[in-house]
Amino acid sequence: MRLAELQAAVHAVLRHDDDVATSAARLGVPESRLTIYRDFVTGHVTRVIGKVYPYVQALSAPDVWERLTLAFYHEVPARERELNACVQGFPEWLAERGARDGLPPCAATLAQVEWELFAAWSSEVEVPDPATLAEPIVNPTLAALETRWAIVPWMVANPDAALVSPTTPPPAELVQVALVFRRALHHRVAYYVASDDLLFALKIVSERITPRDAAALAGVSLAEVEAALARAAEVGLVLGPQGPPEISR
Amino acid sequence: MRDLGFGLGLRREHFDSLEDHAHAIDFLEVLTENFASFGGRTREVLTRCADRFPIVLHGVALSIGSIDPLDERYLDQVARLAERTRAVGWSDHLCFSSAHGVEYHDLVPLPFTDEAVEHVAARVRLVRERIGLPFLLENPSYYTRWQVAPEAGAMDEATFLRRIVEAGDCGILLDVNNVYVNAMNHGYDARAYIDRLPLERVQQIHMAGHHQWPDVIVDTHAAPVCDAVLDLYSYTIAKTGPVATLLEWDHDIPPIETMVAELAKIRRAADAAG
Repeated sequence: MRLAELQAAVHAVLRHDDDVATSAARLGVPESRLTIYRDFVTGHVTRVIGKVYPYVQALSAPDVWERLTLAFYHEVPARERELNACVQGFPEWLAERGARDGLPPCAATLAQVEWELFAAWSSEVEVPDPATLAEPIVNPTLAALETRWAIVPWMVANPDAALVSPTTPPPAELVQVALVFRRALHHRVAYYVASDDLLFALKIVSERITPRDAAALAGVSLAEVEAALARAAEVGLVLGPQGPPEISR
Repeated sequence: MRDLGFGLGLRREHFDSLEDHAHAIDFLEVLTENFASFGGRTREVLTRCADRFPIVLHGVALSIGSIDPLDERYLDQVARLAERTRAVGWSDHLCFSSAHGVEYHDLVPLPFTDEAVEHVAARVRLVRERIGLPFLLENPSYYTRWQVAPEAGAMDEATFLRRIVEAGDCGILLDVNNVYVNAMNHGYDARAYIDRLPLERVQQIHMAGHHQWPDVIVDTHAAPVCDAVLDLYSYTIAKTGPVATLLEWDHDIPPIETMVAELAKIRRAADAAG
């Protein structure tokens, strides 16, 4: 058997396109040994789905989760050498399946937020030390996701995915924007609901509006502008030098 | 690379504790796929480690035996990581880990044939030239041996490895645990296998733990190095002389204190072997 022919035959087994018994007989190898490879290769992907999406897994019954992850493995071939990157498409794939499989309707959106948590944590984008900045900037790892469910408050109320189960009430239906970013210096990932003050601070910093102009434009006091900017800086959404934020034109 | 001493694989589980035990570790091995595209704390720790320790890169996804073309994007990543860490060498496995554009994230054995020797050796020459650092091929553990017709140039495993590293002109990363696992699973003499290798090409050694399943030993990297593997290591070192040796532990990773104690055990075995 030529190298290309052998790799095609093994590939068909690993992708679950051919059954192990028939392939083992054709390749002249024990079925049990070929099964080791098929199970290892499949398991790498199915396990990493649970690692990246622990809350979605926790809300799923074990048999549902096993069926889902196997279906994902089969339908979305792993194209990336970095294993986590192979499951980036899981939220979109889940959304396309709709509300089948007994998952709560929020599952795909929850998965999307979970992916953003991983993406912020692993991002190669550098988050500068605020003390080194001359003026405030928006955290460069920020992802903003508009969701139909109150994902962030639900995650805050359930900080440990290991304690969530299929009987845990899922996130309530409520339109919100989730803000996900990695903090400077200690690199921890943070997630917040985009409250009015945080959105206001984001607008001021991203559009380089001076606090005084922002106050005039929004019809609020300068103290309120400064409080919004201070909170955004405190949570790490906005990065800037110490003291009251000053934005130059 | 050969004189790097005794090292550990850099794992996230030890990010906070590694530097407390730096005196007991001579070098670090960095898994290419686990570090190349990660920023944040991973990048920060890696940078700090590269300032403190000699670094070697070790990959699992080069897929040197695949029929697919070599992935230039991946080789770029290896080159960038090597530059960033000032790596003194890099290695990957004698296997295929992808085909038809799909990644397996596992090491699938090649058939021990003339065709595979020629295919892999040609690709070894290409990647050596591309990266410009010493390149080592590791003998992987394997659980099935493909049947090969005699007219296809069937050969034994040691001959297969020797012919490839000689034709590709690269070094060997000899995984002593894999030699033991393969010898037990496929019924050959582990010491005779060692004797048949071009030992002057062994630039690094891997040590690891394995698990006995009902009908097969599995190279799990999730247990201490057993006495039989330590004995085989001593036998190997007695023949090669000192070689950079690394302890791998990838699952159920214990605290750094356990890792360092295991490494000391390996160091003593090397010292005893002279």
